[in-house]
Amino acid sequence: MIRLNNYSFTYAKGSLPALSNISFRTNESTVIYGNNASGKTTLLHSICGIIPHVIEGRREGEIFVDGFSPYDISISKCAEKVGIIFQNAESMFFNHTVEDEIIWPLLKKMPKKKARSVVRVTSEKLGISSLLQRNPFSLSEGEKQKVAIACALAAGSDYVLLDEPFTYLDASSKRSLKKVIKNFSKKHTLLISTARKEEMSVDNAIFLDRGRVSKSLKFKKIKFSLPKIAEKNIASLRSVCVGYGKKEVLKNFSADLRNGLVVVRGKNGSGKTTFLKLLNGLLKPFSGKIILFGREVTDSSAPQLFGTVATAFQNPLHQLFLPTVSEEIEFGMKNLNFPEKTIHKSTYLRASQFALAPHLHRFVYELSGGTKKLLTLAAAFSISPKLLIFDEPFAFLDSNNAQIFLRNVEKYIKKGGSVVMATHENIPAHQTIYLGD
Amino acid sequence: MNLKVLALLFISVSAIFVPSALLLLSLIFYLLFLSASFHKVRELLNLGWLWLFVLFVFLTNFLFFSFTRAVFFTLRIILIFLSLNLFYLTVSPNEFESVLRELKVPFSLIFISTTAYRFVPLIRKDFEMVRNAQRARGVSFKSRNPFAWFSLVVPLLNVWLQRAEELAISLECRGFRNN
Repeated sequence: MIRLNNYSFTYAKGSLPALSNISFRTNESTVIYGNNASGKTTLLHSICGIIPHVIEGRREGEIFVDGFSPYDISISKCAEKVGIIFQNAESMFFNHTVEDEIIWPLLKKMPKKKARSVVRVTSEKLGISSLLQRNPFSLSEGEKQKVAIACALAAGSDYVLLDEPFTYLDASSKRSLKKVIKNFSKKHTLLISTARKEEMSVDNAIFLDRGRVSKSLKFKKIKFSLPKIAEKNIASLRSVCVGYGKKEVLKNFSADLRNGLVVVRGKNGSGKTTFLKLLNGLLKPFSGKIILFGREVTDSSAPQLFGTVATAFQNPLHQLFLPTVSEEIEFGMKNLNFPEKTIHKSTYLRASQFALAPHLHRFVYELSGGTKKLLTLAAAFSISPKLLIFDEPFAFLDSNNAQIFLRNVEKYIKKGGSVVMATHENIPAHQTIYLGD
Repeated sequence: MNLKVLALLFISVSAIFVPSALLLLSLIFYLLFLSASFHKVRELLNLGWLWLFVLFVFLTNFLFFSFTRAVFFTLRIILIFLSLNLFYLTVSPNEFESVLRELKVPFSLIFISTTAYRFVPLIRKDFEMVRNAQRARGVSFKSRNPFAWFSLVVPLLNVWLQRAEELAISLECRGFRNN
């Protein structure tokens, strides 16, 4: 039984409470719905004892897990009851094989032979037996989530907390993870947080809205209609072979891209990112030709193509490096030597279009994950390139932020720009390219 | 006890202390011979831009000191690089860990060294990702602009600090303190 009594928490660094007056009790698996920065992660961290043992802040009210308060017992005692799996499951691994990863917490409790059999049984239940000898870092995102769940279950946790497990998953790994959730949600208590509406076998749900429990949360249906535009060719790939080292990812690949919105689909690892890297010059093909806006760009480098194209990658942490939000938006325009006046105007325009205006002079590291992602998207828009390239633009975005992004895409296409994006999300497109199989 | 690991550790350490060029040279040949038995000669010699560093060491020593000193130091540097590279190529983190355990190294030290060892490929991956993200924003690393390196170092530190923090928290949550 997990029970919260008027629980509030404020981070030591923050001024506003991340959670206020949360009360609920649950004995069965529960889905926690909430937008970006609604306090989902704070709630999970509070239940498993990360707060206050690792992360500090001011708290009021009480939390009980099976009658114990995570505050009164050490975090490792807490860990025996409650297992948590981070959004980025990879960051939890440190062993060389999946088997070592799962067996590691067991070895201090039981002899190796018995631990081995526990690992075998658990992995069979989760359907990951074939992965036991693999390196956990080489797995797909869906497999990583399953291995992390196996670690928690093998260690004997009755409660397993999953923090946004679906963020990085494609449709088929999502389905297979949901099946695992379905199988375990009866015997164990799972708490699953998510920012999007998900079809799940778990009925029990609570809704978080800006740190408070609300009766329900309206998941606004994302509105997006494709502007009608005349068809025109913008890019062509002619029998391109490309890959990394000796490994070929795309073989003898040809495609014509039209203007408007082009969506690239395919499973994780099917070469979506590789395809995008061909268009923005990050990757040179082994053979074949790439033509962009009527010009051959096979040998152009990424910095040369920047200006004609602009790219935003999946993880905002890989590209943000300047102190403030406004500097981050201005960076690309300064690189292209735009006049001072244009830079100023465009920065304000993009900031207001992406709901970043109130944050314009804040430090980037203070922003939440979703806002950081919006910032990288706004920065790509700011230089007004002919072609915008996005790799998984919806990762980290809740439905409000996704709506902001799509509204801008719509406007941009109406003005004559083109957008190519790789995504698992179901959105209408002028052209869809399927990769793999 | 794993002889391969011990031998490689011994060669790596001795590379720093061996006093004669002839001995260094013979050790290098011994390493090549060893790597041939693992079919890894090509990977062993593939040190990338580290060869430039070797050249740099040779030239500076040759210009400022003497030819003999240059040869001596170059051989020493090559031996250090090659032995560490062969170590990385052939010893799995698990083997490394079990040897350290048998040598009765304290657990916390074993944990730090093997974790660092395991994270080498991840660090390389992060480096590539950040470099790509910055190049796609128009940053050219061919120019001598110190700002370009700044754009590489800041996100990398950010990502690595986050990795380290998440790993630390996750270890706590998985009961690491009990050991």
